[in-house]
Amino acid sequence: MTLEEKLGKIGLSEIERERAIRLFAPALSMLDDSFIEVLSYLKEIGIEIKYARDIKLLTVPMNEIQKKYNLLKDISEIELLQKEPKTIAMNVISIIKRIQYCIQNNIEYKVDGKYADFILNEGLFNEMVAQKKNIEPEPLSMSATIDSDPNNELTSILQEKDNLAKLREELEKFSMPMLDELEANLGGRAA
Amino acid sequence: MKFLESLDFSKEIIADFLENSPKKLIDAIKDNKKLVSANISYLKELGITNYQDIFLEYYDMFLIDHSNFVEIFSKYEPEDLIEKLQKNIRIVEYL
Repeated sequence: MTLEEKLGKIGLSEIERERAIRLFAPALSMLDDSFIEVLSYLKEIGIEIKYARDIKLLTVPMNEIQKKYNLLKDISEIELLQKEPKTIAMNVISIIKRIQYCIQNNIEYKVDGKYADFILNEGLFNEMVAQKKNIEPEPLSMSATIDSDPNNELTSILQEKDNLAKLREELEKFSMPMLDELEANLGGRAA
Repeated sequence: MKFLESLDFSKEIIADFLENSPKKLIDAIKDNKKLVSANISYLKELGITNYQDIFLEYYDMFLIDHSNFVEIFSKYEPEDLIEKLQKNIRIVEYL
């Protein structure tokens, strides 16, 4: 099959055909007849090769593509990845690992129904993970640990008692004029 | 893929690249490592700082004959090219 015939089967626009010949001819020349099967399988699962740069997808053997597609189905992300055609066969395993990390760590990884940039880009993902580690709370200090230890009842009782005493003191200060007034009134009546 | 290490690609990046790229193309890159090295080195020497990102995205392009590869990039002012590629590597497709 000639390059022109291959391009005809792929169905790229004229501009993309020109681009494919100029920039991606090595990958294009590697395609044997089996690429048609891959092409129709991709179409079946909703992925169309629209750009010259995606020709390399067609060099992936059919069984590899199916294996990756099944991995995607397992995590119910196929619809989202269909919006990112290139990733389906190329970076799928890394992407799945990143998605799983986000799920495990409650990190939002979708923006307006599409993947966040860090899901598709390893560098950005590493940055995001590093940032997240930096803003995570420090481990509890020793005193906080003692206070929150349910076995340390004495500490908690003493603290509670101390707090109650302080509260009572405050209330007494606050109620003193009222009591004086009451006492005066009572005194007046008694007289 | 030792030749990529000598072009400052980290072991992690190489491992990720090998895991996620079609075997057919990886084999072609291995078979043509001199050509691929020459093309990567050309971008590096031109001062394109994100040459690794360009390779990882468009590795199949690095199998182009070296003189044709040079022709694609040499039409532009290096400084302007470096700046544009830093902003968006997709420009590669339009050169």
